[in-house]
Amino acid sequence: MSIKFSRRTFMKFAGTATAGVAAVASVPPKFISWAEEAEKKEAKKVATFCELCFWNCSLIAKTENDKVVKVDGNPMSLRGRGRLCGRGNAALGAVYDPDRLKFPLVNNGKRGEPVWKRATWDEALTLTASKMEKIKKEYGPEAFAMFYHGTGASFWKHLLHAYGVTTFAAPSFAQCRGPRDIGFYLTFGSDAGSPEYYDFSRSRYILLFGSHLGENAHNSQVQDIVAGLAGGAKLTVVDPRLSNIASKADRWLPIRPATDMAFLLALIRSVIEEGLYDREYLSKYATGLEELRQAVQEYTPQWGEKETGISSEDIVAVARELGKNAPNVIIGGGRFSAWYGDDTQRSRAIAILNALLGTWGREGGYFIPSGAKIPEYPGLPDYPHSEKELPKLDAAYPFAGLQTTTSIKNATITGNPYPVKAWFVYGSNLIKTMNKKEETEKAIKNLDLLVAIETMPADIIKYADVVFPECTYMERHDELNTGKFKWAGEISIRQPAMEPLYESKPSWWITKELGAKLGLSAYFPWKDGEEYIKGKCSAAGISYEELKANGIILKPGKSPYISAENEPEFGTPSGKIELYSSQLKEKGFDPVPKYTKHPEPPEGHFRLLFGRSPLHTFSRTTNNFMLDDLVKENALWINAKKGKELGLADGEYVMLENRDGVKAPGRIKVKLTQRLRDDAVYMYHGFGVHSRAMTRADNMGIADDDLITDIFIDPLMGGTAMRRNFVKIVKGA
Amino acid sequence: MKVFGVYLPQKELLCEFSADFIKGKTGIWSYIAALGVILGAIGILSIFLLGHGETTNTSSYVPWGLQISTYVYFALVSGGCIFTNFIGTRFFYDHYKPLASRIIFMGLITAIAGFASLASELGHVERMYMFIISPNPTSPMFWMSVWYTADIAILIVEYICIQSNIHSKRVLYASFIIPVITYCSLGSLFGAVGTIPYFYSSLLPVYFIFTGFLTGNALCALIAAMYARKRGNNEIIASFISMQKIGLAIVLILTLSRIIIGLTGNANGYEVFKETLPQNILFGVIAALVIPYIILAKNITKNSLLISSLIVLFTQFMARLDLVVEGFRMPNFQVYDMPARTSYTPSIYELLVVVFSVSIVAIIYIVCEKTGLFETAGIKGGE
Amino acid sequence: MEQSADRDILEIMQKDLAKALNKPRDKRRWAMAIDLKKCIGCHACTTGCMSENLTPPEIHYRPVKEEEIGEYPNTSLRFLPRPCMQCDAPTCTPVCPVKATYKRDDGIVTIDYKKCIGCRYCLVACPYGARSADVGHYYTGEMHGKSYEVENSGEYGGNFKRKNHWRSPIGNARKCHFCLHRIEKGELTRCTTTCLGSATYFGDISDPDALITKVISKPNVIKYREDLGTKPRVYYIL
Ligand SMILES: Nc1nc2c(c(=O)[nH]1)N[C@H]1C(S)=C(S)[C@@H](COP(=O)(O)OP(=O)(O)OC[C@H]3O[C@@H](n4cnc5c(=O)[nH]c(N)nc54)[C@H](O)[C@@H]3O)O[C@H]1N2
Ligand SMILES: Nc1nc2c(c(=O)[nH]1)N[C@H]1C(S)=C(S)[C@@H](COP(=O)(O)OP(=O)(O)OC[C@H]3O[C@@H](n4cnc5c(=O)[nH]c(N)nc54)[C@H](O)[C@@H]3O)O[C@H]1N2
Ligand code: SF4
Ligand code: SF4
Ligand code: SF4
Ligand code: SF4
Ligand code: SF4
Ligand SMILES: [Mo]
Repeated sequence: MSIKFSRRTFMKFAGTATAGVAAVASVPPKFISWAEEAEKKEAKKVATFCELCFWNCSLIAKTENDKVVKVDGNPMSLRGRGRLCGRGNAALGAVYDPDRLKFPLVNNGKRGEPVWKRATWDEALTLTASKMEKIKKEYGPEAFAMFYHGTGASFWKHLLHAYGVTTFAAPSFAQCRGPRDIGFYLTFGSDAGSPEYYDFSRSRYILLFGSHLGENAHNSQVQDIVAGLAGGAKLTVVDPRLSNIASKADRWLPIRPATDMAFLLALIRSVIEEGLYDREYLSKYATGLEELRQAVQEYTPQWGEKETGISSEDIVAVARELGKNAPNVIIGGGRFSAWYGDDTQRSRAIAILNALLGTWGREGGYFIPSGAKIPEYPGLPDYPHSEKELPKLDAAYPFAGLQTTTSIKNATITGNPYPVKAWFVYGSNLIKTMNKKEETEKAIKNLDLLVAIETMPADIIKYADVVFPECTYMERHDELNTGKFKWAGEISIRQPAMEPLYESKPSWWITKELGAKLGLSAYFPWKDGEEYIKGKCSAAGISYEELKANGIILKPGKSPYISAENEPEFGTPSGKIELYSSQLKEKGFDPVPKYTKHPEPPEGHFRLLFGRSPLHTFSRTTNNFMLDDLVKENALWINAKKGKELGLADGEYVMLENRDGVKAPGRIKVKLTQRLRDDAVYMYHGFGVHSRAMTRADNMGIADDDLITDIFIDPLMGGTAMRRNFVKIVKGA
Repeated sequence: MKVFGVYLPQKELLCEFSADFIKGKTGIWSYIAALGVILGAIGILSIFLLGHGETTNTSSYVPWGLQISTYVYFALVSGGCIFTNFIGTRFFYDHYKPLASRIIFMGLITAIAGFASLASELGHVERMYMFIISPNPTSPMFWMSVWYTADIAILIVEYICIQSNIHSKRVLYASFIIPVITYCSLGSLFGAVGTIPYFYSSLLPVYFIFTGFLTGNALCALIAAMYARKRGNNEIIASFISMQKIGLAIVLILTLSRIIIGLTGNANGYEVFKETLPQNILFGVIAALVIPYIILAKNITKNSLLISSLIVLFTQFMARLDLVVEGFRMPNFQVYDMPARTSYTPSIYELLVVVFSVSIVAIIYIVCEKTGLFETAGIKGGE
Repeated sequence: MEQSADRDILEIMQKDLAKALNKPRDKRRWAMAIDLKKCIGCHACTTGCMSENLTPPEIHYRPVKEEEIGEYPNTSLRFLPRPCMQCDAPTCTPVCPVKATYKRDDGIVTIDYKKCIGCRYCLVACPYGARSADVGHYYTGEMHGKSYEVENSGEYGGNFKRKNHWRSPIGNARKCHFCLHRIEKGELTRCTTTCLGSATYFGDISDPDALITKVISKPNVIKYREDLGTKPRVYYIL
């Protein structure tokens, strides 16, 4: 296909980033209805961004009579380029959900068996403040912990920091991309980004492990990989299941689950032994090749075949293809990587393979991102504690990177190293998210206070003492969002397109009010969310008016590719890419990844695999009426031949029981499929909600998290491995 | 009283009937029918007041359901009545004569009852005038409406003729031709839908002609049998039995060929015939056609005719529902959580529509019978 | 092709659209092409269309069907997005008793919401299952929900609010209309602008220079169930 007006080509030829960004900004936004003339007096267009997943795509909300009636992508943003994914387009289903939390709630019953009382904001805030003061007096600020996922959390982090709290954990790290980030960090001195620094659209060869793009709807990333494929990139997908993206691949390798490390090590060996690596690149930027070579000697392709079920021919072929196309190659780090417990090391292996092929900072590889820094709001008092003053909760995991949820959970249960008595849970459906539910419940029982800041009566709500109903992303100001991209950093604004429904309130308001009750008003000098954003804009030297009108501002950055003028920096101790990690060695871990064998499913059992529905974000959207209309429940995918052997019929409902004898509540319908190996079953995560107030989602399908009772904590960084569970199918549901 | 040569129920008899009705002396059926009309009317009213979404179970997957099949059923019954009238007048004039006005009258009210069911199914019945201002000659449904109207018209004319004792050959032949065309257009309404094998194209008009005749004729036979029981007039029974046997035999052949074509056909959606085979053989063939035939073959009595006619009327009703609904059994574009086979159970409101249609026919018939409308006509006709 | 190609496709098609709008209506031939190689099964087009046309429950103008072909491990997958085919020989329009649905001179098969009597014959007649009956369901029973769900969808440029079941579009047949209300304003169809795979092309195929004309003039183009003789205006690129 001929491309006449390619922005990137233009940038490439123009050479300077400024010109590139100017070209981006001058793209006429005519092709979305945003540009259409207001045909109604009451019609308004508000630029804001999506919160149905962390990708945070910019969108334009169209309102009529102060009600949002439509959303469109914002073409100026790099996160979506005017497009929204299957969930993002269903914004209205989240905003107008009649099951939304409508007013503050106080639990007058036991924790876990709530007796709800509708409270006024003042009652709820006063109660919370007094409980907080009591706990702080008795146990000190370290007895507080916060779990969070989502943009509004920043105000809560600010409030709690000001209160002296230092424990903050995101399940979207330890239960998600943490292992990958740390694996890359140990190798390149940088994580793989979020959004990831994948230069898919210019790749010549892409190798993915899992990473079910298309179902996993990382907006611009999906666009990029499709563009890359249309441009002729070759694709190999290693996945026990024929994922959407695997169906587009030149080679789908249905690997035996839990053996990716073997495949990777065999690949590394082949690349080294056949001399397919980038000598020049390595000698310039990397250390430890020789140690690596020695360490991987035992991992022959034949050995790889035995472990993974992928033929040695395929392994060698992939290695050669990688070598042939290097460095315009991406071996994807994936995102959700908390799989089997050796995940940081698996990510290390991926990083090492990338390094061997010289993909970091190369066209069609991992680009060097440009960011946009925004200083803190000017003139705020310092926080009372710095993180360093306190005993590190995560001492057990030397490479934790971020506070892990597990350590908080353990400290709450055991009181060691010190008691944790209050949890703040923002936008995280903790009880489903952390897995091994009984431990989470045990921890929660020990608490004196659990505050949930939520939009929906999610499963976690029933464990809360106080529930603060936050208004949805269409109804509030939030912290500015910054993202690192190719050529430019992006700053985007969230601003209300309509008044909050019911008595729900934005976090900037709740935290300001709660702060006042805690005597922390000095930390909240802003009148409202808008003033806060204005303050940040002026501190950053960007135009609030422009941001408000366009939704985003692009900050021109540097070239994404290595060149003589653009030498890369690696944030490792050696300043180089560490194929052999002395850091790991020092702490007693394998400096080069080693293979450990994971157990296979016992007779009559299947490994429980899970992933994403393209039309849902975990349990975040299961009650969204537009998405529910399309996908109401999850199904149990099972290899058709195997399923028939077991006498299962398509659409039949069954129950599931795991090796620990846990029977998941509810039932799930069988989907006989040709897309899956016969030693595993697969389902979407997020279903099997247990909350009657979620009228659409409650009890629909089965929750994978109900069956994930065998978790394993990654010893390097504390990630929670979840794909270790084996289930058997119980008929007669 | 007579208007344009048509007898109307006499005022005194009407008063007497209503007095008796209040006193509870008009017989159980009159009360059941009256209750049916009231409940049915409430049902129809609810559909209009609450909207289809709240009341009916038809959907985009099963766009036509019980209301349409009821309409089709009554339309066929109505046509069958005219048909029977034609045959009766033409071939067994003397015996048939006393029944003529009853049967034509029945044809009329069933046509109207069918229309009530249809009207309650339309999304925008108030736009029916579009049929006049924006007719579409390529649409079988448009032609169906034209011929349906003609059908009603010829019924009225025939009724006037009978009651005013005018014997018009032209009207008689029109009363043969028009229902045949109505059947054909109704048949082609379904048959024209090439992508739904269950409606199986060009066989359907023929199928409709004979099933229509069978069902309408069964209703006439019912009237004849009741008339015969009351009057002890038995001669007429034999001719109805023969007519019904012929009807059953032809419909059996057509039903079987429909099934065979379906089973041997091979295109998208033809599996539906395999899937519905057991129900078709058991209900559509054995219960609906073979059993009544056996009953009639065994003994030639009023009661056996009565029973077989009731069976035919009921099973053909179910057959119409089966035809309409099973046509949508296999969605031609199945996505998301949509089931591989659609299911449809009529809602209570839809059932009430049927109750209304049946009851309105019954009550009008009972009132007219009791107020001597047919008597006068019969006596006059018999003179 | 490269990263920005998607933007360029939209930009190119945007220009093509403006060009087409300069022609008299009967000289335009709107058509859509969907590249099945690029369709990644993300269903963004489905929900994009739902939100564009404020469609009620169970009415989806553009579902995406997923089909498995072959047996494990030799399996392949096909995603088939299905808008209305805007057939040149539609089976839906001839059956409409009141001419409420008809093919416009620019090729779009429309429904006159003010004329439609809601007989659903067209639903029965469309072989693609592209039509739905709006029986008046709402997603939410609540007032605030209804107040958005009763908003004017803008379909056919008309003032159709789903306010109560007496009013259109409730009671009518509904289907994809190639975003008529958008293209007349110079905007591409919503499923085109939101397509994550850049798999959806739209434009005027009477313009030999238009992008869509170029993509459909290749040998690997088919139409869905062409054997039916419906002459669809939606092209699938294999
Ligand atoms: N629509 C949608 N998109 C989302 C989300 C959502 O909820 N909905 N969530 C977002 C978030 S937070 C994240 S972290 C990402 C997660 O998305 P990804 O990072 O893509 O998650 P994965 O676990 O890599 O992908 C799941 C795939 O891994 C395969 N798999 C399972 N076990 C193995 C194995 O042992 N080896 C290999 N090679 N493959 C295996 C499964 O078969 C499945 O196809 O998605 C993001 N995008
Ligand atoms: N078994 C199992 N466990 C998993 C995963 C898995 O696949 N399987 N995936 C893991 C991954 S990758 C991740 S990232 C985590 C994510 O898991 P979580 O951190 O729990 O995040 P979400 O599920 O996205 O969001 C949870 C809650 O946020 C609420 N919410 C939505 N919008 C807002 C808002 O604007 N404000 C507030 N206050 N609340 C809001 C929703 O109602 C929902 O209850 O789960 C991990 N856990
Ligand atoms: S990827 Fe989809 S859900 Fe996530 S932010 Fe973007 S539009 Fe929203
Ligand atoms: S796809 Fe169906 S509704 Fe659309 S024009 Fe063709 S026949 Fe008509
Ligand atoms: S439902 Fe409307 S558009 Fe469809 S055939 Fe009937 S009147 Fe015509
Ligand atoms: S063209 Fe418009 S109406 Fe048709 S499917 Fe696409 S978005 Fe929906
Ligand atoms: S939006 Fe595009 S890529 Fe996604 S399912 Fe629809 S056609 Fe396919
Ligand atoms: Mo995640």
